[in-house]
Amino acid sequence: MRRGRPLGLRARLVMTFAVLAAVVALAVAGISYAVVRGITLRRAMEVAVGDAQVHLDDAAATLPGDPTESELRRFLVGLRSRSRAEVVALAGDRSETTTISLTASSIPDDVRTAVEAGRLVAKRTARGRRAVLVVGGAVQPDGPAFFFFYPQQDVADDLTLLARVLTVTSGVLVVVSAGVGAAAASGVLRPIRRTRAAVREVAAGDLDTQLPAEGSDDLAELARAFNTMTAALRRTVGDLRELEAGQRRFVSDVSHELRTPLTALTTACDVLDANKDGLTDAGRRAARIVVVESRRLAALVEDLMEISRMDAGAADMTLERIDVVRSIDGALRSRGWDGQVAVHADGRPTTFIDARRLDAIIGNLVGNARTYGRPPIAVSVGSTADTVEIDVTDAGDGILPQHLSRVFDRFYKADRSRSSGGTGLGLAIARENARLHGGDITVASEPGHGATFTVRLPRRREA
Amino acid sequence: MISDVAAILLVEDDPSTSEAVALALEGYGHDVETAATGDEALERWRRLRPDLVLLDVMLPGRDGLDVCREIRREDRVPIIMLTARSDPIDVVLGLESGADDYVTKPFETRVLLARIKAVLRRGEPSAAEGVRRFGNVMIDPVGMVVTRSGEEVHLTPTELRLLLDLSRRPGQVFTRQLLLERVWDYDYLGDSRLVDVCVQRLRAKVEDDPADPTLIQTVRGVGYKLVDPR
Repeated sequence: MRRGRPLGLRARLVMTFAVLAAVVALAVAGISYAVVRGITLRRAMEVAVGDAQVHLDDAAATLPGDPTESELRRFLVGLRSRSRAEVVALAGDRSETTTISLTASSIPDDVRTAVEAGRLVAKRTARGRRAVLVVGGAVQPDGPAFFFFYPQQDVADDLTLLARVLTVTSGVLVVVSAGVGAAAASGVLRPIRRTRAAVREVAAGDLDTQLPAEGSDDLAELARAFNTMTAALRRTVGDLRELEAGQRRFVSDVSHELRTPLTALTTACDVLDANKDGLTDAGRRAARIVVVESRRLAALVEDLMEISRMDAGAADMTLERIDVVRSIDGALRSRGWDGQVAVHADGRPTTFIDARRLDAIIGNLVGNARTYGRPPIAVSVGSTADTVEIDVTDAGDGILPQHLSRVFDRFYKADRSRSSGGTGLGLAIARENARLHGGDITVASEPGHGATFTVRLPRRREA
Repeated sequence: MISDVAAILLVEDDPSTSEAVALALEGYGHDVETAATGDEALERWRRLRPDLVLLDVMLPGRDGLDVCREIRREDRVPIIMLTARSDPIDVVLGLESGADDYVTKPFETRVLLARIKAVLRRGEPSAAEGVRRFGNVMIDPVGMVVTRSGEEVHLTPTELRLLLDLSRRPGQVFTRQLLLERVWDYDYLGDSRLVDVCVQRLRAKVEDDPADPTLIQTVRGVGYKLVDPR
């Protein structure tokens, strides 16, 4: 079963060290405590039993088999100065004690029973909240029985102290181990970090990145494999660049080769156009076809060049700070479309943009609306903090759903029977122009209710 | 006085293009001479001293940039580059070698005519205005003369027109687009590199230290302004 995000290598190393330290520390502390406790308690018991035995022998020597109350009391008074224990003596029905707080009922039943059976017994027990060791014994069978209560609180306190010391030491050990684990992790992680940094550099496009590959461990092996990879990438990218450079040269050469005859052709057509009055009717009609079609050919070559440059990544961008609404007005005016197209603007957004490319986009979309749609044609500009949105809307028949996704395709014609006079590349170029800026163009249409092309451009604050 | 009709030297190696352009320009009354190589162009230019040179960049042998620099060494005649490539570096190189404007092939005749007209207009003296002085630079708008520390500075008509426009309102910032409209006659979407390169050329001629201009200053992201160094 997988749980959430796996921990990082550093965290895992630190945790392993800490857990290991905790296990070791607990084991050592636990065993130490058990051993010390056993020895301490046994010693205390031996001392107590020895002491009690001395006093019992003393009682056997000095007391009669059936002592009187005063004899018993005197003996106990003597005991008080000779022993640490508090004592209860039982003789027949009488009981005497060295301390008022101690009575016959303080004696544990099992101890009393064992003593009555003639045995010398010792038992650890508690009086109130204090630990005591009870040693009981009779002077002789049916003679007076003595119960010695030895205070054991000092022993218990010592053991508590020991337990505390062991606990604290274990805790410190765990923390120190975690620290050692962290340090060890840094040592292991340094080459991994270096590798990560190198991978990022490669990802960012720096293919000259190399990793030091000394030694023969796994990391050195990884470094060598990494270096081999970047070398292979360098070769591949070099080949691709050469290919791309070749393609650009080709685009440039084709451009030159096509433009030279086209320049002669279009200029000659302008001359023909200017002199058409001198032609016969048939000549005039032929001249008109030559003029119109040569212009169309020039536009097609121009568009082909443009889209080839875009494909080759050779499109240049000149970013300038532009008032979008003013640029749209300019684009419409320069084509003589002002007055035919309504421009709505929400504010006056400015952005850094290639003015020529914006002009091409607007020219294409509005030109499209004029060719395929119907008036009224409207351009509306909206903006947020980081985007500018330009909608070009017409009121024509709209675009059928099956054509919607393909209108940006090169040379795609929704209505094959209609010749528009366009190059078939306009929308593709417009979309590329938007994408060069990091934006895009989308289209929405409801058949019968016109179409809306939306240009979305990121708003740049600087070039 | 320069009329609307000019003597034009057309330097173009493609015979069809050369003939078609010559035909078109002659149709509008211009007087056109042609040359097909760089050397031929320099020879014709020295002999004819035309009002304007239309110069193709790609020429066999000595290329258009070289011809442009050679002409600029001796004369301030307006030069329009005809460039077949729209590779941006070619445009900048053409402008840096001294051209006043450029037209990209294939072009429409009316566009070429408009550029020719705009370039020729720059050589005409402006309305009577007083002499302006900025530090050691003196500008005479009527005599079309600029001196720096008493010595005449040879400016092309475009450079002079740019300096006159900037100096008309010292301290005011002119956007590149505005300068394109006023100096180059572009009514919409001119190439702002025209302004940048021309400003560089102008600075090289009138500034004490073109690398650290004190007279014509750049206003980042906007355009240029002329500052009276006093």
